[in-house]
Amino acid sequence: MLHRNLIGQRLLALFLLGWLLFNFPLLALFAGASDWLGVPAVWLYLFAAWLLLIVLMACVAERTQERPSRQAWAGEDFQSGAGGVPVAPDTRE
Amino acid sequence: MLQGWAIGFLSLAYLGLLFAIAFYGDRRASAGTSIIASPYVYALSLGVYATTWTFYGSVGRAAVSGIGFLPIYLGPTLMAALWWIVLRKMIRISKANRITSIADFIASRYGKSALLGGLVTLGAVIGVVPYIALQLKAVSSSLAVLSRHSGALPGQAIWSDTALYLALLLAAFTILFGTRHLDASERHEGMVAAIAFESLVKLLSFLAVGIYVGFVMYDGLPDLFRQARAHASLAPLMSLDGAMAGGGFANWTALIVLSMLSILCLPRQFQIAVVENVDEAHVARAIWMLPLYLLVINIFVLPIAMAGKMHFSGAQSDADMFILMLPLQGNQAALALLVFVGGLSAATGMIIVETIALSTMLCNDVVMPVLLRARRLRLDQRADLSGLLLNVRRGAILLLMLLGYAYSRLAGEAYALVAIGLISFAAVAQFAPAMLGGMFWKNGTRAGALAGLCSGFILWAYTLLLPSFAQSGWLPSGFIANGPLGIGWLRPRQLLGLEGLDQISHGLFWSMLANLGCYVGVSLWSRQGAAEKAQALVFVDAYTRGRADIGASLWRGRASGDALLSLLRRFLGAARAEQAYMRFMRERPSGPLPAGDADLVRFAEIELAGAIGAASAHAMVASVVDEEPLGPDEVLAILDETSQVIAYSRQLETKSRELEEASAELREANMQLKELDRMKDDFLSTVTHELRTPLTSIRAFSEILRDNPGLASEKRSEYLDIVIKESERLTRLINDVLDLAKIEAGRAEWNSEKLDLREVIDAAVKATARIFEDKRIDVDVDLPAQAATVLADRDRLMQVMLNLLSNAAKFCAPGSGRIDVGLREQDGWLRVVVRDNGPGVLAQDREIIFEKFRQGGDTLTGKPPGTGLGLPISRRIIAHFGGSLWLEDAAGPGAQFVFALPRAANGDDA
Repeated sequence: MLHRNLIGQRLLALFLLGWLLFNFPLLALFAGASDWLGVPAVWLYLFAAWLLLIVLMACVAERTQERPSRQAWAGEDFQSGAGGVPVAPDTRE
Repeated sequence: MLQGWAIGFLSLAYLGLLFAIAFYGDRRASAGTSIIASPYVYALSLGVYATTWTFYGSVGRAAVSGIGFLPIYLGPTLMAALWWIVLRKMIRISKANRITSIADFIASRYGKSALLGGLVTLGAVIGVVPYIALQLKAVSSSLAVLSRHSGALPGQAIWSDTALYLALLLAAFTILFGTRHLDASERHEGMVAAIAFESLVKLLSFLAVGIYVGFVMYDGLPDLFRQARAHASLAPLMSLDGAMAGGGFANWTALIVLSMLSILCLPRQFQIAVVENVDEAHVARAIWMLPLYLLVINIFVLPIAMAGKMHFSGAQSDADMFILMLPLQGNQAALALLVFVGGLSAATGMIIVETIALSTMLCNDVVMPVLLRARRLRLDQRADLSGLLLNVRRGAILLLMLLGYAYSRLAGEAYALVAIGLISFAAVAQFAPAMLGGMFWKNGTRAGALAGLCSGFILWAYTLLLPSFAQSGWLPSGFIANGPLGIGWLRPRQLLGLEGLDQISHGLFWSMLANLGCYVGVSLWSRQGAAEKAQALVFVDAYTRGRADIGASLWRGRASGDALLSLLRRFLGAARAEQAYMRFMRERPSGPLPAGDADLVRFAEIELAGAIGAASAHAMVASVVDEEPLGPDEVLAILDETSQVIAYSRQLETKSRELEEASAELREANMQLKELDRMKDDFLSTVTHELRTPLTSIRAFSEILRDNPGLASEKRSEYLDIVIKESERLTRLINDVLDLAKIEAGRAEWNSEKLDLREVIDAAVKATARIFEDKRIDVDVDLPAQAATVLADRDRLMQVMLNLLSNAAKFCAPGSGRIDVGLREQDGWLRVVVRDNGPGVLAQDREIIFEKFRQGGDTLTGKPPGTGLGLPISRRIIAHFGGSLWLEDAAGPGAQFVFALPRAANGDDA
């Protein structure tokens, strides 16, 4: 449940990131730039930022599919860990 | 160069292919093996967002404003990030309430208001018909370019107008696949499959042209841009200057906001994203796949615009058609045809989905309410209305198509494609406050939504629609420049003298300001009716509440199952109605149906809502049942009850969790108790056993003495010695047991005082000196010079020391034995060590020897002397004084017992 809520919040954070990347004032940094790698800098910047945002969104959104199996593993780890911890000896000096 | 008949044949063949795909999709759907139940198909079908406006118009816009075409695609990308929160909730609400259009969504939210539904439908039709016109116009222009005709359509005779034939053809297609039967959830699987296929076609054909232009006509994109740099007029298009020419960053941001709202509110997007959605989980993949689709289809827009500008510098060339003219210029007829098919895909996809969505809205939210009201008597007599419903929809589709065609002929060449598209976007964006507000804000009222929508539409029409009419020459041209009747501050593009924004940002600003302001303002100062309040909760709490609890709990009255069933029959057809009714009866929890049942009424209303819309369904159901109207106070009481029930169930949950924890604790305590009980039993049996051994020998020797009076006197005294020794042992044992019992019960008497540990050790060693001498054991005592003060009972401490010393002596071999007694201070603790050089204690016995009656060594081969209680008692005594007693690893052979006691504060005084 907690994990699910976080997906919404992560995507909300990506929305804010995209809003920043695609708007004044960050976009204005490229107003004066000419060419990068032979293509207009602002064109390259917009498409690169766009692609970055899509990759990040994919990473977050695709997590929703894997969730159940991940949780199962974590549960097993927890149990074996608890069993393996020795009881601390009660010595006092 | 390209024959007209060949193009016509290709177009027909392509539509035939779409037809085949749609047919196959529908067949698979009715066979139960859906081909659209895939997140990829869902994401692709959402690509219906990219219309001819993208396909042809983006290039045209890029030729004027450089990257200014991009915000229209960045906005949906940003909105996609919010889909997880917004779209999933829309889907959840719509599925639970059988909502089939955006008009239905808004009407249903505000108390199933027919007025709101009609208003939204009207706004959507006015806003979207020009958009349909734009698609038809784009296809006919592309045909004109292909066949090398001049693009002057208005002068042509109507029967030779390709747009008309296209409109009629598409109407036929849409009617075939959009209204084949009345589906309760308004889903059209075949149509969705065809749309997804079209998305692929337009993407591939755009990429093909892009690659041709970028890598065949030019030597890669850097080469293209380098050549473009040579033209001074193209420089603004390659920086931000072109995009910012109209209104700067405000314009840019306005376009992003506008497209964000459009992708949620466009009727066709609502249809594909919400109504046609198969599985809510598909949203997760669409979140990144639709933006990726938009990115890929836009990569080559600017390069193509640049190349077009360089090749066709003539003023009369239409930049919208660059994508088609470039391959033609290079004599690439096949590529040009592919582009044409891509454009046709973009147009037909949009038109099909949009007309289906709008026809549903027109039928459910405009025509049916009017028909049901105006001609109720006649309609009541008709047994089956499902055919009528379908025909209304078919008529609506045809009407919309013809409206679009008429608009495209009338509006003619007044505007480039993009401007029409943006005006449409601004119209549907007016739905956003009422829709989003309704999903996340419980207090939005019907009056607020009506006020917001009306004011938003009026300002939209005034600032955007009327000026476009004026530009087309239907209104006096002075309307734009001087304002109506020459009133300057009423100029539609500089309302109240607001300048510095381009017309879209300007119109969006005023209409949204009025819309949002009225929606929030009127909502805050008006009251919700009973039905509104219930619907507000159903929408806003879609995730947390069960779907039926509120709706059902808010209905009180009597209804007969037969009347409701016959109502369903009339609208859904007999077979479907009975099927749905049987399913409902099967899934009901209780057996026989009590007359007048809220669940049944709700079921019928939702089933009907799928067919005729929420508002009409509510009106129809209300006409056959006797509903007892609930006053607002009663509604509040019921809602309070519902929330109280929820609160109670939460409390109950907490209680049961606490109970579970308590019972776990109890179980543990019980186990401890059982263990203690067992230990007590063991203790008792051991004690009796230990007591019986000396008693038996005392009794045996006493009997010998009694039965043999003539026993030799030394034998006699030997036996008497044994009797005395065994009695002493018995006494010692009983003393120890009593002692232990007292300590354990906490009834022992302790006289704590400050005493010097050195003196206690000294006394203990002296008291045991006899034993050591008897066994010839060396005792080495190592005590510090300064006083070692502790707070303890002297006798008890003495008991511990004696115990340890005698224990050590017991295990030392006579003659070679050696015992070291040491006292050390360490970190505020006084450590006393008693070490012997006997056999030592086996590792597994280390803790056992501190248990009662348990002694080290093998019990089978013989027991060492002693009661087995000395060490347990000693440990308890030391623990009582706040210290501990344990067995330490000794260096070398032997056992090393250590106890530590806290040092008393003012030790030097004692």
